[in-house]
Amino acid sequence: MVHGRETKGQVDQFGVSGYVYKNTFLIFDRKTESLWYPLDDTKWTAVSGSRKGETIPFIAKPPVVTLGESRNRHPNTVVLLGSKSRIEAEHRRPK
Amino acid sequence: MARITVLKRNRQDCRGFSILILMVFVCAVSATACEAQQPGGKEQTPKKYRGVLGSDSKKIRKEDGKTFLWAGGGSPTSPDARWYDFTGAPILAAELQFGIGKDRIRAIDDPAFVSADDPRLLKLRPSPYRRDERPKTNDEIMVIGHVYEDQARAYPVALLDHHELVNDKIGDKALTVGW
Repeated sequence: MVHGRETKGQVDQFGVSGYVYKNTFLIFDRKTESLWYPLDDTKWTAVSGSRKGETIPFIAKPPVVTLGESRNRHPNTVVLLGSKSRIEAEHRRPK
Repeated sequence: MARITVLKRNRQDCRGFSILILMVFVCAVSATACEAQQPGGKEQTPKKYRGVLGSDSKKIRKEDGKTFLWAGGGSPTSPDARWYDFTGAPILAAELQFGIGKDRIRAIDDPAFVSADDPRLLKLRPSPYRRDERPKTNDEIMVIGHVYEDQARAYPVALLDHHELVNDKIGDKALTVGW
């Protein structure tokens, strides 16, 4: 699922709260630690905390495909390798 | 006489039959009720969820009319424990599952992207849910893709299964990618 991250002109970083409801994760925003949940398919809604009632919009639900298929459709595809800081730390670690 | 006996038997059969009909009806009504409780109404039977907290969980704290959920940083009874404010949420705290602690599953906040030919992609930790999926070439790697303003990005399923969430930005568009 792809969602936005912007509400009222403000961009949030989200983390994984550790709680799950009906097998779907609740996430939190790092600034206020309000909890967010997809109450319906069109958005995440802040269900508690100081942001309660705010929403972030649903953008897309891309299907799982092979990288080959993705590349056929979009030859310029770049691929996520992981967290930049973690990859750099692993690179620095003596072998 | 014979006819009366037959009638009597019929009546007894009828009673059995009506009880059966009643039972079927009750089943149908309760099934419909269960279905109505499920969002989307697609499930025929109520789902059992794993790791549900229950109302006596130590991870739920009620104080001065407020509800808090344990967030980590020490056990729920320790003074170092951190809490989410869950007051007024439209979800019952007791019906939540797990509560393994904040950031125990670490979202990716600074995503690094590489070309689709990069050999490091074949060395990604396999998904804990799809251990038998071992791609032999980059083209076999399972991904979900997103395109924004001609920029195409692919997010390997194995990474999403480990991190659940990616805080990404394509151009000036800030996005989250997850399940």
